[in-house]
Amino acid sequence: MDFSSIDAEQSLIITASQRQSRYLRDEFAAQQIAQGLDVWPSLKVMPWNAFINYCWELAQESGLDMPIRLSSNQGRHLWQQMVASSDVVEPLLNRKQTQNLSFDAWRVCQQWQIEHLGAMPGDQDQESFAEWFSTFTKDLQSHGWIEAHQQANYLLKNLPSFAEQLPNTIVTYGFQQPTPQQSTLIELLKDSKDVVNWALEVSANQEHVQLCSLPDPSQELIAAVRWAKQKLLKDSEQTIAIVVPELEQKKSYIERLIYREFYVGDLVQGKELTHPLHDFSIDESLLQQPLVAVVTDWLTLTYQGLSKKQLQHLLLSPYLYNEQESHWQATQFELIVRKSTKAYYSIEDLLKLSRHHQVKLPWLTFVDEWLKQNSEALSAKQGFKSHIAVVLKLLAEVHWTGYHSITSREYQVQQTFIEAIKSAQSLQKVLAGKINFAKSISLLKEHLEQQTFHQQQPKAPLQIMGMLEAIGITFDAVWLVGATDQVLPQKATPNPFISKAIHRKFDLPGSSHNREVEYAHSLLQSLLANPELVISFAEYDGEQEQMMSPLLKTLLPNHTVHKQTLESQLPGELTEWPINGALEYYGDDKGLTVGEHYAVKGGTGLLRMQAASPFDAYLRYRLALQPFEEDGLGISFMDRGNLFHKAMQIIWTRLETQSALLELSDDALEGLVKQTAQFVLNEAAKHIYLLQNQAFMDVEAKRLEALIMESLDLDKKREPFTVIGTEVPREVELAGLKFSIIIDRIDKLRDGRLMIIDYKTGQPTLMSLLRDPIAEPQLLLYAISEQAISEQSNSDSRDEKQGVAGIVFMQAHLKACKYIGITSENDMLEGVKALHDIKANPYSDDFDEAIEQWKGMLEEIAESFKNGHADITEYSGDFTDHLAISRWSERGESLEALVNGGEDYE
Amino acid sequence: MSNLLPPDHAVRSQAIKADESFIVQAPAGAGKTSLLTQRILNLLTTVESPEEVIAITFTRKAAAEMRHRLVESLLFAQGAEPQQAHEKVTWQLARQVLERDAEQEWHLLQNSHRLRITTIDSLSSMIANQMPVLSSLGGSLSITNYSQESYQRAAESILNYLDDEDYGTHILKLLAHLDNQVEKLIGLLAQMLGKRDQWLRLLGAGELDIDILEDGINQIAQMRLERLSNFQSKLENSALLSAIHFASGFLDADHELAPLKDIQLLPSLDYQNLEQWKAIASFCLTKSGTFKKQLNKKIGLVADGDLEGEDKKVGKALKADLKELFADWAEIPDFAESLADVMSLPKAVYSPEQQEILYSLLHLLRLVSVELTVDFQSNAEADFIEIALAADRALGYFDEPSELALKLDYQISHLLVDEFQDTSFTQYQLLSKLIAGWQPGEGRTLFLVGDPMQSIYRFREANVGLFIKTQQEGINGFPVTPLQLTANFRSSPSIIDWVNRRFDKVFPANDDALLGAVSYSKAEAMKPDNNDHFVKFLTNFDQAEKNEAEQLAQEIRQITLEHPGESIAVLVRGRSHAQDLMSELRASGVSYYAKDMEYLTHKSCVNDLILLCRLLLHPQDSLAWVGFFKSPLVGIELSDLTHLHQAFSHQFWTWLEQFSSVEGLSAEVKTRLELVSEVITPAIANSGRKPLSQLIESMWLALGGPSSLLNQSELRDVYAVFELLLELEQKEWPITVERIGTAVSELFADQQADAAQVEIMTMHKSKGLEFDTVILPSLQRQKRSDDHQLLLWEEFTAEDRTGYLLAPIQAAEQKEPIYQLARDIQSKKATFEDARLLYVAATRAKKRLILSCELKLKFDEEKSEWSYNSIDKRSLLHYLKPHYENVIEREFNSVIETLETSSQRDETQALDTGWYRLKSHVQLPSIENQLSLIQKESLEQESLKQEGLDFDWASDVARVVGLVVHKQLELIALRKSSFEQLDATDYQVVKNQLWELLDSEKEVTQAFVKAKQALINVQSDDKGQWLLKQHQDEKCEWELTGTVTDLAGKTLVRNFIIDRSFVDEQGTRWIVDYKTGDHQGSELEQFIQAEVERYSPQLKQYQQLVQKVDARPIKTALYFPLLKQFVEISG
Ligand code: SF4
Repeated sequence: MDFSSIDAEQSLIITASQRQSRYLRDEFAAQQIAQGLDVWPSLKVMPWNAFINYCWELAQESGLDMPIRLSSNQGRHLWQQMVASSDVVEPLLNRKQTQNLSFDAWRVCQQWQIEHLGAMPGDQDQESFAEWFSTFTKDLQSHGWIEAHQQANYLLKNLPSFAEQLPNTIVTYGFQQPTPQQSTLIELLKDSKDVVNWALEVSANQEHVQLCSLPDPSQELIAAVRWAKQKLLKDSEQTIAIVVPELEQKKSYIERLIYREFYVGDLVQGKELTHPLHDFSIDESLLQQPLVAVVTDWLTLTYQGLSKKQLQHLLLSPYLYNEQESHWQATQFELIVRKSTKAYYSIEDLLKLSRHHQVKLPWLTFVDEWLKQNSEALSAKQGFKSHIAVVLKLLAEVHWTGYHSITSREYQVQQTFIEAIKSAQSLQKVLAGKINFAKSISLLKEHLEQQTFHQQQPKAPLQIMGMLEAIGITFDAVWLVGATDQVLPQKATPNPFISKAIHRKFDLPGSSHNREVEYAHSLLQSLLANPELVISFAEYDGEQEQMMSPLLKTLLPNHTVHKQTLESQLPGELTEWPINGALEYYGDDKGLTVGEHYAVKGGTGLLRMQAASPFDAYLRYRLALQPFEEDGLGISFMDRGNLFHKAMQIIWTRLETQSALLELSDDALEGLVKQTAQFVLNEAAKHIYLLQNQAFMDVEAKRLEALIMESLDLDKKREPFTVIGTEVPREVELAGLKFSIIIDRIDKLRDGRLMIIDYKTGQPTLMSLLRDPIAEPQLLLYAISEQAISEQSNSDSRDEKQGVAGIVFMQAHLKACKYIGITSENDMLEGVKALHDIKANPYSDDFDEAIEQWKGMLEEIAESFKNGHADITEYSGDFTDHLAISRWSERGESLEALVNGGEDYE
Repeated sequence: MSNLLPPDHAVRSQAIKADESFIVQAPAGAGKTSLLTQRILNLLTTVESPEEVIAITFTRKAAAEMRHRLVESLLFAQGAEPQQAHEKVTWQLARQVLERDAEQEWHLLQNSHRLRITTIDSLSSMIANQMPVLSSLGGSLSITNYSQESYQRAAESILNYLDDEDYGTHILKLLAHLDNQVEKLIGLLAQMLGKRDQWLRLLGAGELDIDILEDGINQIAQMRLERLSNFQSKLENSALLSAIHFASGFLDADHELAPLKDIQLLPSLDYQNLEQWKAIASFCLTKSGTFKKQLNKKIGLVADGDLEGEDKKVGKALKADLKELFADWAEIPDFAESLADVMSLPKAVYSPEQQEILYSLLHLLRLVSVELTVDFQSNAEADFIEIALAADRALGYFDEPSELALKLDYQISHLLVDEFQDTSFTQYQLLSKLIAGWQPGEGRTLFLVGDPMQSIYRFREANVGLFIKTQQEGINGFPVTPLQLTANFRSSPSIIDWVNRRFDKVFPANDDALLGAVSYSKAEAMKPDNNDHFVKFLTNFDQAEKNEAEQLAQEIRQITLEHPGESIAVLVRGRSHAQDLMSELRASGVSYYAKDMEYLTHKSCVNDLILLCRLLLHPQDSLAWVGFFKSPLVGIELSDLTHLHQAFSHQFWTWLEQFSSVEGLSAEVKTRLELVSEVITPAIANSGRKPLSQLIESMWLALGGPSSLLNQSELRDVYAVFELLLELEQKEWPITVERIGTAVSELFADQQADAAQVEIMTMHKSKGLEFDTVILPSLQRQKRSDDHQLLLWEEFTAEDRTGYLLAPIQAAEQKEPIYQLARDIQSKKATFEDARLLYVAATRAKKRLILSCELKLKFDEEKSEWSYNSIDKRSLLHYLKPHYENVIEREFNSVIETLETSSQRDETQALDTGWYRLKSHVQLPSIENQLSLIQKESLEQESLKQEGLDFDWASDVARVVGLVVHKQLELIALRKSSFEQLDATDYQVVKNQLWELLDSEKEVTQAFVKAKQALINVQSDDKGQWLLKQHQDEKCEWELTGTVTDLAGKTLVRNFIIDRSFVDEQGTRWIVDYKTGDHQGSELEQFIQAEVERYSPQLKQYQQLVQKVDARPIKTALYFPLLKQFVEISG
């Protein structure tokens, strides 16, 4: 750019983009400094929009009575509100997009000066837009407003009011594809002004350009980042750019690559980067900043409840808590929320729940008190602005930066957020009338969705930018990635609200493929003006094969594509990481011996687990590890089991003997069963919410009644018996550990011996009593306990036998109701074999001896637990919650050899 | 390749004709892609714009390949004509396209977007996006990655309707039907939502018409009966009829075979006679559907002993004849099956209960689909189905192709569909809408190509019946000519012969659109044969030493030695089927590439990362903490963990903070905990504030992660997880453990493809590929059967009527005949598809095909003999069984001779129960930044000061007043305006400006009063007048740019705007800034003093700058219009 050709004070430079303005200003400064100057009159350079506003003000100053300008935010908002309230939009799936696309169509119509839309009759898309268009225009007129994109058209009609005041020399820059609005205005200015167009110079020689390909997109980015690193290592003063199509999606990946390749030290130490060497041309979404996201969720609480997800977010995030202890409590409280299936929490729910669980949630108390004091202000309809003021006040008073000191980035986020909230007030102008608080907040959120955040930093030598931003700007070196045929040119995408005929007639953006080719061309031309340029593409994206942009073949006919491969895709310090001999192999199959005061919790589960996998038992019963719980939606199998247990307990407590059962008339029996089922279900309905629904309850009751009936039918057919106990609590000592158990039912048979019954609403198997490791130790333990008791009690009646005659599950399942288990003799119960007749019986054939064996076996298990044995066994794989701890997936490998072998694998 | 013309040469030339429509069956290796390319090229030579030709492929990958192929052929045509005959055609066609391109200025080679090669999904979304209102999409919609979650949420919403008047009863009805299992119902509903494109269509029509449904069952009955016509002559055999006669005499009136009594002659094959036919079938067949070998009195054939006289004689003879007859018939293929199909037919009656269930179900389905829409709406995301439905909806508005053309910019003149055999009903419908209004002979053509024998995507709703149907009747009344390719350019004759011989038998004899049955069509080999080309069948048994994996590994090694450089592929049906083979290959040093075969969740290093995620996301996750402490990164032993637990329970933060006070911990443990605490404490402080992916990566490195790996190749796996976290977090924040878990469980270990000798992949994945040697191991493995569905449905055409079969799920522990029928149809479909899967896999082979299985040996103690597990019907081996049964038997016999007679075969897996960890004194590399940041300390000084935040915005009016006053003072100084002028217009200009800058009347008034006051003040103030009057070298809003030096000594360029500057009579340059601050009340002095203090540095800077351009003495001042104060600062 030859700035010497113009007089800075008497000229005005208009650029197509803000970035280009900045670029020219920098270039100008560089030239001034090169000439030895410290101070100089500023160059008047501005992007198109600023120029239009500049002209506008000149026209205003000239005394012209002009409409009132709406800011682009205001105009957009007005449009969106109108579209959103339109009937046709109501059922659409992506209404936001409809608002945006149609507003875009409006913009295009202004910029291309389209007045007649020529909607195809009957075409709902185009007709809707035509209607919005005219409604909007009228609305603006009636208020005396003008929308930002209309301004230039207005000025065109009033050229004399401002043209004279403009400097004599006007330079245009970067208008590769001017809109008709732009070109008409520039054309008209030529009548009275000296209008010059500047462009980047492209050297005819193309040796500064390199073409290359890499196997896939991530390798391509790694190569680009490493290339930039090499350059910066040589000279950190130069300017470099990596140009990335669809930067938005790749940004975080690139940023991570840069961290890995540039500042891995800081990455490892978790340090804050305040002055990075790189910068992105695109901003981040403000609402997605953690600090902001938390506060916006919290704000919801001021006018409605929280969804479960929002609540979890507030509980887990460290912001909003002023001390670690209260955050810790909150995370504990989260487990209760997580468990529940409740989807929505009102403020009252939360107050109650937090009180119940004795947890202090500072943000909740704050809102609560605040609401009490300000209830009027909130319920009243007011101006948007005063609601916003309330929000600011809330924010000023609540503690929302957490108990850690905030970083400078967080501070900036906070600052940007507050400024963004303040800026929302401008919407007041286009809002009709007063609204309530809730509506204001949702408007505010809509506004905030558009707001962005960019961390402030000094100018960085490496810029990562999108393709559009790279137009009209040069660097010392540029790498363009992703130059495939899909990106250069892009696919033409016409705006669906404008008819194809209009698209073609006005040659609108996205209207034709040739237009896209031209555009891609000018983009590449602009890139070619850089003194050093690398253009690359990836041969594959996933499984999809990619081609280089065909335009490159035309532009650079003599270049060949250089196939690059990376030595390693892993960060550099990993390839140099010393790996050998850092590991040691050790055994850890025994923890601490159980202390004196150890109390067994969970009864026989401990024995089962210890038998199968001592390691897992250790985790569960010594370290008390448990997975997070989660409630089911309906009634669970466990609930059903409990219901059945309870019902049977009630019934047998009442009946006591089989003969009582047999004596009952059918009606009486049915009555008893019904009544019992109803009773237990009513009890359960207190905590199982669905049971409060009568019809649901009815189905469940029928089900339960049927099960009870079947079970009673089964018992009717047995030899006579007396139920001497239901839900009998016992304590058994094994290896010095006390196990508390509850025996579902104990029947006394005619001969005085005992039958021990365990209800199962699932489908138990006989094998679970026989296999090693023992899968259902409880029945064995019951037998041990009752055997011992009956031995002690040494019955007085001589004809009564002693001891336990059998241990059985009663399977109460819709499929079949039956007894499964072991008895001392055959035919004591239908379908239950005597121990000695069971083929796979690993125990003594004699029942009493077997009980002794069980005792020994369980003692041994308990002993091993007590001693802290914690080996991993082949059954460790069954404990899914612990697999990550027991490292189950690699247990099949020979770890010892891998660790000690010292061989260098790979 | 030879220059000989293939035998189907004529068909191939016909297929590229640009004015005719075809459906082409192109079997494996038939060169389908070149045919498609040629046809597209040929079509391009006839159209106005290339967009008129649309080619639809099955995957995006295929679309890209096709597009590249076209571009390459165009580039190729820029060169000289090739010699090879088969290349010539393409070259010539491409050449013509280039000419047309030049003529019409298409610039195809510059813009490949103009070639419309697309998947049906992208086509749908293109259409729907172009019609935001018509399609009700509202614009483009992103596709959700978690459609299952949306389905689940929509299904769960039924719980909100339990008390609803309309829906409540329906929900409870279904709940009762499903044993009140809420979660099951919800799960099934959610599953149904994933197929709603299909049933929504059935529901669309409005209320349920049971008659139509019952008619549908009759139609199925009719179809099944008609299949018996193949055996009509057999059935008419007098022996059968007389036996029936005879037997029926002995049956009671309520016997299930009673309908036999009415049979005099064989009834006609009409569903009206279904009951009789069912009786006949039951008469002939056993319950399991084979011809009877025993005849007894249950079917009226009373035992000889119970008969008397004539009856005895006749009965005896009849039974003998019948036995013989049945024995003969048992040999006739398909006979028993066809009869059995009739036997199992249900009555075409929906019981009232079933009707109610169906009715409730349909109601509920409607409800959840509406709820799903609401869910999509609130997330502005949808699934592919929604897009397809939207496109379908939008296309429904156009009757005329020309209207559609107006809307879509280009008319569609030619539509090509690749892989047509895998089209779903929904896609088929979209196609028919796209060609609505097309007339044959008007220049528009349709070209459908595919291979029904390779239809293997039933699980994605592919419906091969559509191919068959289209072959027969065209689409939507638009006729297409069926063509058949036979030449195979891929495989050697050895392979082709085998395939022809085997699959002719494996495939059904006749096509059946309803069942998706496809008959076999033979291929002709075009490649020369060779001695070392073969098909081999290997039988293995699960012996410890000589198992399949080992055998195959040797076999493969052999081939790599004999044929280096040739491609080898192992194709398996399920991912898990190749695990053993992979470890054998590793052991025998054969490198392999098994993309997407090894789950990353099977790696401990990956699980360690997930543990880190868990404890950062939820500090209460005690399992994660302990897992982390036991991981090699930390390596704390159980006893120490117990000490810590006893001291602080599950307060893990305290563990890290106060471990040193715990008794019983060794020094080594303390060293370990120290490092951990150093790393974890700050990470936890940052969790919820910084990206999780970043925290995890830094923690892992800081803890010495790379050193903790057992194998350096795992580094790639670790980084794959980092990248995944990054990606997930970008999509959603805050992220949950569940989300991470699911996403990681879909990750596969990445592998080096380049140097691998063998590729291992699933059969499905292999479709479209070819390899010199193909190995199909573990053919005995079965896949699991289809899950139950809430509703089963079939849609079919019979006699030009569309028929439906709709069957609601049967209640637990019950069998509903109609549901059974639907299940039966589904399982038949699955069976036919399995055979096709085997075909696809086998036809990947160019030279060598090895089929292999491993059967399980069993020892029966009682009989004291060996046997092997029977071959499951759901295995692929099942289809080869008839041909290889003998081979297997022979192999079995030779194997058992070597076996001990014992069932005790110890198969205890070696388990390493030890642990490993980083050595406690291990020196981790210190990691430094690669690029040192510029002058650290000095920068830190400058780092942003955190001032108090300004929550107050009352200053806004003040700010605007400032702007307006500045502006007016500038204009007056520039003599563009004057106080008089302002006065005369009652300060209207000011008011106008205020209206733009402020939002309410109140504010405007407030600001106006101030601004006006300020201006009047200036007017009446001598100092003010002096400032504004004309001076020498005067400037307003003087913009200067200059360099300043920052605290770090760095030169910065800054802009400055000076409100007013001029040179007074004394030759002094004045620099004045206006301050429009106001101050009411006393202490005006202090206020001004404060302002002066605040602004003098700035003025000082101005002064320094101006000095550089103006050598005159300089004075600076602040001017307060609202206060009428002028304060000189320089001194
Ligand atoms: S595997 Fe087959 S179906 Fe899948 S993309 Fe490749 S060729 Fe197409």
